[in-house]
This record gives sequence, structure tokens and C-alpha cells, in this order.
Amino acid sequence: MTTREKLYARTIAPLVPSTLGTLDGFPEIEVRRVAEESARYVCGGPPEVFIVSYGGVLLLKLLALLTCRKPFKSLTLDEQKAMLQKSSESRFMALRMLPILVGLPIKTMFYNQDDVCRVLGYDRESLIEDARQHQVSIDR
Amino acid sequence: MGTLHTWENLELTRRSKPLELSADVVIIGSGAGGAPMAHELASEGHSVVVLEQGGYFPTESFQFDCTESVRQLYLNSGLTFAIGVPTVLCPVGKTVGGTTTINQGTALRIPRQVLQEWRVGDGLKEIDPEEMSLYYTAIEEFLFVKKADPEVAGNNARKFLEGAGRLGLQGGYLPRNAKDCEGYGVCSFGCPSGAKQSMNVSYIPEAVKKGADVYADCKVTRILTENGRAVGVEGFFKKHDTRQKGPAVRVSAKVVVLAGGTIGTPLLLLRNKLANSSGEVGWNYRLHPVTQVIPIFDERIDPHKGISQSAWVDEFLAERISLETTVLPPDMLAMAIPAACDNHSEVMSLYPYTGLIGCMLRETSKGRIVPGPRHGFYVFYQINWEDVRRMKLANVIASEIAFAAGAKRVLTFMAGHNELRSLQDLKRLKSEKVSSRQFMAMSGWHPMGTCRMGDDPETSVVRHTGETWDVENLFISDASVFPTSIGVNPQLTIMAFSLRCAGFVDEKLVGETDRQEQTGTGISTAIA
Ligand SMILES: Cc1cc2nc3c(=O)[nH]c(=O)nc-3n(C[C@H](O)[C@H](O)[C@H](O)COP(=O)(O)OP(=O)(O)OC[C@H]3O[C@@H](n4cnc5c(N)ncnc54)[C@H](O)[C@@H]3O)c2cc1C
Ligand code: SF4
Repeated sequence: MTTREKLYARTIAPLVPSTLGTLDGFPEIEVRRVAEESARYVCGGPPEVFIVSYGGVLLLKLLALLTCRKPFKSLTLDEQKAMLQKSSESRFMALRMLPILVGLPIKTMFYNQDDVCRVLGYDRESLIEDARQHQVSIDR
Repeated sequence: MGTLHTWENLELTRRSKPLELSADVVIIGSGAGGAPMAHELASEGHSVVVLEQGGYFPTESFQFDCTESVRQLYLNSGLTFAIGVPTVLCPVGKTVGGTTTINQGTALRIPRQVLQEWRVGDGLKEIDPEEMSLYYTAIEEFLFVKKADPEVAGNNARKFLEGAGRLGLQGGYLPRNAKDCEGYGVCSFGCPSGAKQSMNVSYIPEAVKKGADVYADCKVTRILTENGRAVGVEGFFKKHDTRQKGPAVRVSAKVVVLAGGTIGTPLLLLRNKLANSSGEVGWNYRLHPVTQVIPIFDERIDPHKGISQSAWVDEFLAERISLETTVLPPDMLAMAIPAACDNHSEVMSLYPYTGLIGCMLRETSKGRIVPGPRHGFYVFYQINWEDVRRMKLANVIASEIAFAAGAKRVLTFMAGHNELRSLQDLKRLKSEKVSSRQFMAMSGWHPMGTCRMGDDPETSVVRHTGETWDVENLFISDASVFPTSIGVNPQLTIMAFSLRCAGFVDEKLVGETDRQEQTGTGISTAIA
């Protein structure tokens, strides 16, 4: 991992469980993996995306300090979720979009896991096998 | 027989010496605009070199890992945004086959009335609908275009058409460029069976068979001109995955065709300060704005079992609205849902019960592409009030269809109307005014228009032939030449214009050969 990826992963990790919300029947969240994959994804995009996304994470943490008077990490999971939820329902567009923007890579990377997909009926391995048996070749 | 050159087979890791090539025509970009042109010109016996900045991926490499595909096959890992309120996600492909490799395979012709508008309003009277029809037919045959098979179209499409039918709306299964499609629903991440006839498995390999040389991982940065004529291009190799920089490349050619797409082509022109006497390069950017409506049913839909995009309602095309079903694998749906925490996880846990309807506009809004630092760029796009009003209407119609199909809840992702649980909620949405700020997730999948075609060099960049007004032998063949948005999925129209443009390039090449025979300078493809 690059230094930038490590920095991003470290900063976003505390947000992973609350961003994903209550997950009944799903495998346990691998916070580190999700944070690292998110970092790889965001840092692979243009620098502006990294700046906005990283800035968004910092802003959310600042918001926790301002509204809950505690660092985000010290809030209970329920308090964290309540804060994110409230922000996402704000009348102000910037506040409304903040947790959504920050959560984008986290959600993508969690639901990309094979075991998570299987819970939703999406079995990647059998799809790969099926596709292997249905290769289309065309002779024009 | 030509060759599809990759980083590996050119052994670029060990090569530092620049590559010197020459050809009759060099084409920048291997997507919908570049590939048919390459095939056509190679079939006519011209020597053709295609330079593509993205990597080459064979069908076997598409393994249902959508997140990885987005990283590998999309420009900027899919993270391309148009700045405005709301900010619009507007991804494009960067791979051999261009955006067609990651598109949904919907294959529609331009609506007649749009072509008529171009002929009358934009002075493009030379574009003959009958002639265009011949190109469409040729492409449709080549790419096996036919209506989606209801057997594999999936439940999302079936439910959508049932709902539309109950409301008496006109629609049906969409025509697609796929052969023996099994409905794996991952067209936008590389078709794993090779069924989808994107350029990487159709026109490009066939062009290679006819003698074209295609170079992947090769980015063009300079257009070479002499005495007001294009004479070649320069660029460099860069490995798509490791981003390792390779040797420089220079191609001399009689004709240069830019097919880098609505973003790539204007950036090349702006950076080279070429073909912009009109000041129009980069302006007039359109993207067919899309918002999504998610119906949630009591019964299982299993949205991933079925074709990615297979049904539509075209009743409202005259009102500039088109509704198309789409399905997404879990990770991509998770990305698309603009909700937080429990609201998000609740919808995701209902994944097997969800459908998805895309509301797409033929917009009147316009944006702009501007070069940024270090090969980067910015896209600016502000949706206007007229399109906002239309987008609300599209969401209302899509929600009505969803309820008519039996949905128990409908998610719209319009702040204040996020979730519709009854017709009463729908009535409230209908009666309220919405603003662009309320759209929490907007995307645009069909960029068009940044090097518009027209009949006046003061207001357009290219003539009806595709040749730029300012630089002789410099042609553009991609969606950037569209004077307006077209209101339906554009790939087939881009290809039809590509074949049309190929005819003019062919004429040029024949003329150039005569000219060079007189002056005694000839060019043929060769690797130095
Ligand atoms: C997810 C998705 C789904 C879609 N679904 C559909 C659909 O179902 N039906 C439909 O009709 N349309 C669809 N589209 C749109 C359609 O695929 C595109 O409009 C079309 O492919 C654009 O063609 P183009 O030739 O303009 O550009 P592209 O196909 O994007 O080709 C441009 C190519 O040029 C290359 N390039 C750019 N600059 C340079 C440079 N400097 N040097 C070298 N190479 C360069 C790029 O890497 C790219 O590969 C979809 C688009 C997306 C993103
Ligand atoms: S639905 Fe599946 S098989 Fe059909 S074209 Fe798309 S990816 Fe290929």
C-alpha cells in the first residue's frame, strides 16, 4: 500500500461499521480489509476524488466534535449511526451528501465480498462456472 | 493480418527506444467511433494503426468482479464526475473496445425526428436518413442486433413491462448487440461469455484480421501538423495496471482520426491548440442525465438473474424522456443507493426483492470539458430547471409503473420524497416543485457533443464529413461530434457515423495517394 492509501485507510476505518449500518444475517465486517480496499479504490481515481473524499472524512469527524462534543471514535456505534443518519437527512445539501459520499467506497467494498454476495443470492463462483460453459465464439 | 499489440507482446518493460510507425491512417481510440472505422478502412485495403490508451482484456479475464473491472476498464477507476448541483457521475471506458466493452449492449437507432432536427436546425442536410439506414442495417447484422430474449431478460424487466402494460404505456424489450446472451447481468463490467458484441470482440479483432495494427496501453498526446494538414501523432506507452511508463511512439499518417470520445477528443484538441477557431471545442457537453427508481416487491426478483438492460418504455420520447430497466450486482447497487447507515443496509438486505428503473432525459442542459493539470480534466455540467422538471416527471412515471407492477415501496432518491409507500405519496411528489438540489444521485452514461458537427465553421468544429474545419486530414469520429443529445442510447449511432465518416476518409486517402504519387512520397505500415 502507498503512504496515501495507508493514511486514507487509517482515517476511514472508524467509520466503517456505522456507515454499513445494522447487518442482520451478514458475515462480520472485516473493518481493516474494507478500509484498505476503500483506500485502494479512492486513491486509484483522480487526485480531486481523493481530496474530496479524504476531506469529507475529516469533515464528518469535525461534525462529530461540533455536534456531539466527542471525537467520532469515542461515540458508541448507535451514537455514530445517529449522527450519520441525521446528517444524511439534513435540509442542507452539503450535509446531506457528506455521509453518502464518504460511505461510497465503504459500501462498495463490503458488498463486493463473496460471502456477503452469497447472502444476497449472488453466487459469483457458480456464475463464473456457468459462463465458462457458455462461451460464445463467432466466426464472421 | 495485423496484430493486436499489448504491453506484453511488445515487451515494453525492456524497451526504451521510441517506436516509429507509419500508416495511411492512424485512429486514436478503439471504441464505438474508432473500431468500425478501423475495420472499414482496413477492409478497403488501407494500412491502419489504432492507438488505445486503455489495456486489452480478453473475455476470460471478465470474472464477475465488478469492483475490479471498474478499476481496470474505466477511466479514473470510474470516478469521473461532472461538477454542478447535483454533481453527476459520468464514467467512460478506457480499454480496447472503449466504452462499448463496459456498456449495457442496448442498440437503438437515432429517432428520426432528432436526425431531422440536425438536418434542419443544425444545417446537416447532407446527412441522408436513407443512407444512415444502410449503415445501421450493416452494423446491426455485423453485431447480431436483436431484441432481448424474454427468457433471459429477467424479472426486473418482466415486472416493469407488466406495470407499463397495465398503464397502457408503449414499450417492450430492447434491441441489443448480443449473441446467445445468457443474462449474466454484468454487461457493464465486461461480458464473461463473449456474448455482447462490444468492439473488443467484434470490429477490433475483425479489423486486425483485415490488416489493422492495434496498440493497447498507448496514449496519444500530440497531433502533428504541417502546413495546416494533420500528418501524424505522438504519444507514449503506459501500462494500464502498474502505470509504468513505456517508450514514446510516433506515427506518421496521411489521415488522423480522433475517436477518443467526448472527453478524450476535445482534450487532445485543446492541449494541442488545434481546430478551435470556433471556440466550440469542449463546449456543448451532454450526458443524458439519469436518475434511478428502485421498486421493492414482496416476491423475489433476483435482479442479477437477467440481462443488464433489457426493457424500455418509449412512449415519452417526444417529451424527451426514456425509461429503461437496469440491473446491478450487489456491490454496484450498494454504490448507487444514496442512503446512509440503516437506511442503506435495509435496502441492501432486500436486494433479492428489488428492481431498478433508469429515468433518462434528452436534455437541453449543456456542460463543458476543461483540461486540468497533469493530463487531468474537469467536467462542468449544471442541469437546468426545464430538465429538473422533466426529471421529476420521469420519476413520477417510473414510480407509477412500479406500483402498477405490484411494488410495495418505491425509492426515488429525491430528498423529501426518498421513499414512496403509497399512491398518496406519489400524489404529493407530483404536486410539489422540486429543485436540482433534491436529486441525491444523478449519473450520465452517454457523453456527447464537445466537438459539434455543423455547417458553419464559426459555430462548429467539424463538417458533416467529420473533417475538422481548421485542419485538413484531421477527422473526428466519436460521440463528440453530435450537435445535440439524441435521447436514446447512442452507440449504434456513433458506429453509423463512424462508417459514414470512413467513406470520406477513404476518399481522402485515395486523393492523398494520387497527390503523393505526383510528389513522390509514399507511406506504408512498418515498425522501425
Ligand atoms: C456503463 C455504461 C453503459 C452504457 N450502455 C450503453 C448501451 O447500452 N447502449 C448504448 O448505445 N450506449 C451505452 N453507453 C454509451 C456508449 O457505450 C458510448 O456512448 C460509446 O461507446 C462512446 O463511443 P466513443 O467512440 O465516443 O467513445 P469510447 O467508446 O469511449 O471510445 C473512446 C476510446 O478512446 C480512448 N482514448 C481517449 N483518449 C485517448 C488518447 N489520448 N490516446 C489513446 N486513446 C484514447 C479511450 O480510452 C477509449 O477507449 C454506455 C456507457 C456506459 C459508461
Ligand atoms: S447479460 Fe450477461 S451474457 Fe448477456 S451480454 Fe450482458 S454480460 Fe453478456
